[in-house]
Amino acid sequence: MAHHASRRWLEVIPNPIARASRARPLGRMLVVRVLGTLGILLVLSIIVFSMLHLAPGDIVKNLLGNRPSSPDAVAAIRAQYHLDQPLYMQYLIWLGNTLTGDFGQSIRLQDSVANVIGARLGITASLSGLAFLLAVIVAIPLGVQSAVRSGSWIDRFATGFGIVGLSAPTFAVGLLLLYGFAFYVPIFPVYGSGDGGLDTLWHLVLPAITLALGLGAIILKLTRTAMLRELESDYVTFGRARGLPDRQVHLIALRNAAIPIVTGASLVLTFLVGGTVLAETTFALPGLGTLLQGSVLFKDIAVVQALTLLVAVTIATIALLADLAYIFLDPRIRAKEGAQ
Amino acid sequence: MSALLSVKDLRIDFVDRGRVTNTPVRGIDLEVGHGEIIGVVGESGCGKTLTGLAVLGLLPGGATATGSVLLDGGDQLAPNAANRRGEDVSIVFQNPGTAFNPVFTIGAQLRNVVRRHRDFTKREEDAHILNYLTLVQLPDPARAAASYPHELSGGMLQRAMIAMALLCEPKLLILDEPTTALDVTVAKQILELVLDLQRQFGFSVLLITHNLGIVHDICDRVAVLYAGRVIELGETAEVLKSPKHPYTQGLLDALPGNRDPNMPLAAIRGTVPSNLLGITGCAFADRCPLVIDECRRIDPALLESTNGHADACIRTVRA
Ligand SMILES: Nc1ncnc2c1ncn2[C@@H]1O[C@H](COP(=O)(O)OP(=O)(O)O)[C@@H](O)[C@H]1O
Ligand SMILES: [Mg+2]
Repeated sequence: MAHHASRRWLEVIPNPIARASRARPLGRMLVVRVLGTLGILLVLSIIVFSMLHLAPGDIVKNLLGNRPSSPDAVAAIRAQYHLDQPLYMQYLIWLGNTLTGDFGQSIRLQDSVANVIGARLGITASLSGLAFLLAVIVAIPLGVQSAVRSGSWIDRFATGFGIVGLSAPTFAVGLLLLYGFAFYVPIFPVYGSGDGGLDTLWHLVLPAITLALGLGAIILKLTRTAMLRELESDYVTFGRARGLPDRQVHLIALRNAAIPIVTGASLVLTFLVGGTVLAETTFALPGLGTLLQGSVLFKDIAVVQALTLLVAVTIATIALLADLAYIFLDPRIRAKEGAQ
Repeated sequence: MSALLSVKDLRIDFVDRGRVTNTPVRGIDLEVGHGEIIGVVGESGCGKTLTGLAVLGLLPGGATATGSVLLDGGDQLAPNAANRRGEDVSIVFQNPGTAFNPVFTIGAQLRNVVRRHRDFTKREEDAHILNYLTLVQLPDPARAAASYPHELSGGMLQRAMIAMALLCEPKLLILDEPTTALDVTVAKQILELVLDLQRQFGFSVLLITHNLGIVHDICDRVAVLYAGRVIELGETAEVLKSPKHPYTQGLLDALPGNRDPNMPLAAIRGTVPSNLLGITGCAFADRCPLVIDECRRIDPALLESTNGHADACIRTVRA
């Protein structure tokens, strides 16, 4: 047959497939995003500042406690922390200092805000990082399997896991884990952050699992839905029709499903912020969550302001990274960004 | 010479929790010779795509096939049919816009196939891919290879899909409504290209379509499907000139060119039954203008009347 005699590729056309270079005006997008974020930070700081002032309670009383105090002492403290100034001046002083990199003093802890936050940042970052890692490592493969074998026992198990993870409140899960694995079967420590290094990691396992459960449930659902949709698409059938093995077809589908998964996962990362406060409280971890809680109750404005901004910057950064990932993962979006 | 593809009594059942919910393909017999172009026509839902997928050994989840599908002697209903996909048989789908993966370049997707089936160096792969993109007459093959699917037109994508289907020189090419999603002039070019490549390489073609005009233009033989059965089969010219089955006659009457200008538009009345479970007698009986009592009792078999022209109507007078 003529068809089989003509192994034409041996008379090669020596022309390597060139990837057209695609210049993208990413710079412009970055500038817009950074400016937008700065605007949001400004508004946020004003709102938080006013809300803390409107909230009941008096910071000077909090500071002096039950000690008897002379009016002079009170006036001195008020002057020291600019509390004698009108509200807008207080804000402007704070803003001016912040813009020069001085986040002020924690009234409650009698230390600079930078030190106070710096000392606790590690715990919270490790806790959130560990929780996110756990959630991703378990939820993505489980979501893929439950889509590929939809209807099987693994799918039913994953669905059950997802329902539990989504509906169980963080503190309840935390207490349950504490009871089960720190008290009843004492594998893990009950509270605190340990003495650094591996010991700290060990102390973080239960709180991280607590956090990861809710997070993982959402990522699992996202992955399963996205994979199911991709597996039903024409290009998957066409891939199989060309003889690609199932494993490769699944990997290719996961590559496409990554687009909604990344977007969704970045959204649920913000869910970590609230969850972290609860988990740190349940497990008595000296992280930013417990710091925020204490500072709000004490009206320790400088600390609350700095934490709020930190959270906002983190969320904005995650959102930006997700958008960049989106552009990187989807050539159609890339083309649109390029056309703007 | 024995046929390249031989489908015998192919039935496809959809099974849900042990119960058969539908039988959209109810015993199809079909042979495709070496180098032959055969058309499979019928209304939407009559089982054309499922038959094509069964030939690929690629039925959707929940579907089970019985009967036999032999491709060059190999059993396409066996689990190892995957090994022959892309190599001995491949398919071009209806919608080029969704058949390609949107996040990979055309070249990368073609390379996947070459990698799977051939042991080439990267240079040979490039050359092979460009060669086939050139064969399907893409104006700038290197650029097409570097493009993402959304950067090419429907016609160009369909050419690329044909290139992809031919990459490993299949003996049988299935075309599932290859031009339905394209506009008329592009459709014409694509069909000319297929004819051209078929003459050049000599592969067999199973062309699925609902368009008798296309069948007339390029098919050697035609099988008319109704409700999961072949109800008429024969040389294209013969079947189109003297159709035996009232359904085929109805399809021909519905063509714009064949209409008697004094008659209202002769579409076939009614619709295809959507579920084929529990049908007794001829599945076309309810829509047939020439129906007689026996039609509802006897399920007619596909029988030959004259040289290679067969049909499944009990009213046909056979020698
Ligand atoms: N994945 C599926 N699940 C359930 N039923 C299906 C599926 N695919 C096809 N069918 C049934 O089989 C019938 C024939 O489908 P198909 O072969 O796609 O028809 P067509 O002739 O239009 O290509 C459809 O009407 C539908 O009832
Ligand atoms: Mg179809």
